[in-house]
Amino acid sequence: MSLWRDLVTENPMMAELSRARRRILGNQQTKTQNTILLILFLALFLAFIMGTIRFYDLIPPSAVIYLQTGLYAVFVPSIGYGAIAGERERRSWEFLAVAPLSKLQIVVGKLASSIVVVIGLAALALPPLAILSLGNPSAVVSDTIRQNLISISFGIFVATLTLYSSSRAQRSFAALGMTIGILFVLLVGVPAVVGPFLGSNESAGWALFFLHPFIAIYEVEATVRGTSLISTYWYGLPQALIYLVLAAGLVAASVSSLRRSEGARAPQRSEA
Amino acid sequence: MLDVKQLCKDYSGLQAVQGVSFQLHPGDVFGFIGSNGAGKTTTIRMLATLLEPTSGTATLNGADIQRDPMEVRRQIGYMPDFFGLYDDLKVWEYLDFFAGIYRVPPRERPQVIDNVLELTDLTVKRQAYVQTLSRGMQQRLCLARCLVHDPAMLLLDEPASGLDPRARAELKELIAELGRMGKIVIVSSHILPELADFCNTVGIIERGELLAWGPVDTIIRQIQAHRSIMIRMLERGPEAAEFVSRLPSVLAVTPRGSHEIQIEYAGDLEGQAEILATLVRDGYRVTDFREEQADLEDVFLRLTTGAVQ
Repeated sequence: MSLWRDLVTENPMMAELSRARRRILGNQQTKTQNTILLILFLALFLAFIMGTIRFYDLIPPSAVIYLQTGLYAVFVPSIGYGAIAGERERRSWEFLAVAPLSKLQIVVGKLASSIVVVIGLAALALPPLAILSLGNPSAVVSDTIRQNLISISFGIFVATLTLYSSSRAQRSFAALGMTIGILFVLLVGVPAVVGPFLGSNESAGWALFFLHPFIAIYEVEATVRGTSLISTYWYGLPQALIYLVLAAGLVAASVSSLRRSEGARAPQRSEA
Repeated sequence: MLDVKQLCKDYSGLQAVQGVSFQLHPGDVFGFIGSNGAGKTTTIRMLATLLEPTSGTATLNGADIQRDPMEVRRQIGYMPDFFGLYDDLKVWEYLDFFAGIYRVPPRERPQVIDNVLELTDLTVKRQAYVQTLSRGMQQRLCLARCLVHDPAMLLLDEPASGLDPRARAELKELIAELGRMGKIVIVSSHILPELADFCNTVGIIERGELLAWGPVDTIIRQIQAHRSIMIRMLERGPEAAEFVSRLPSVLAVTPRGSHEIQIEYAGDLEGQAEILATLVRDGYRVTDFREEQADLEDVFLRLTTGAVQ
């Protein structure tokens, strides 16, 4: 409980959340521009809901989860890439480094805004998911839950990957490039390069793409349809668990990266 | 009290700081003087717990910078030479953010923010966005940020760099005020007149070594063993020089043109007054008679060689 208190409930770095809220919701110059953007977003969202109601028997719930996972891959890095690299870039990092905060508190505080985005997107996806899961006759609720777990845990993994890149990079755009590059290789590059060589060897393909979120989400449905090699009720949970373990590892690596960057680096400019 | 003992920092063979030791007490405004590359910033960053010393220690009110960095951080306010502010925040939001980080209780924050804004003369900019502030105002905001948790010690690395003369003057007054408030203030600079105005203690560093430290007057006396007196005559300059050279405790006389003479004098103020009286009594017409005080610049130039690492 002490760790929870230090890192979450009494972590002063949680003040980052209000900065992130301002960045995401109040990014434009005037209130009018913000209001117009908000109305546009709500209109799109409403249209999406109406579409799911109109075509509930044609659209599988996994379509929403694919969309949510895709948004995680694009939107989460764009929120978190400047978390630490941006502080270095604008030379405000030292203010945090001399504050009475542990590196873990800083990392968790910086991660919080990305996690809120992950949870927020999942919350927005819930109404259409509920409509499709309950309305579509071929939908299985437990499948949708496991698919969503894969998606959300992947989102958390992307958030920590972005933070790790940010802790390593000196420039924000380098951190963004690093994150997008790694995700592109994992999600597109490897399947595109390796996929054609697998041919009809389904077991090799399954093993190779076990952690690919889109393939894992597809496989959850495939288990029900009986086309997957391993047809188990728990399919999807190992992937979610692995994403969360990787995320924890990346948090630890980010903390370690920040600690290493102190103590060894000479002052900037000519002063030695 | 800040107690620095034999602080050293090596960067793969390069000794950036070598055995720096000094003590400071509440109210001391310490001017850290040195050329670029002398080791000022490295020393300050070690005291700010941003760099680990290779050897040596420093304690602030009993808290060691290596063994108890968190406690040291609670007691310091650090302003680096170059810094950035969060442009997307208003002035009060920026201070509120850091007050939160330094665990100032939420109920006390508005009052604390008002106080530091008043001290730094930024009250009228309370609702302004940080990005709209001038360079001088941003500097003062950064100083206000350093003060939100009422630190015992302030580390200000080249605080006046890039400021216009008015902003410099305001900053100097503010730093002097912080000293009067009982804080230990360490200010680094290589612009000596800037420090001479408000520092009561100075340290001179070159190639990582602290060559001298202590009260400004003491250091000046240490390097200037004798008084230097400049006398300007209306006429008979060379004759007066010959006359003065025979007076007691006069070590050397150097004529400067036909009207001025400079004398090195080992006596006290009484004897100094007697020289003037003797000259006048003997019919020499003196238009100017003054003791030439060495200043920080003289001390710095005399102690250092200008070498950098």
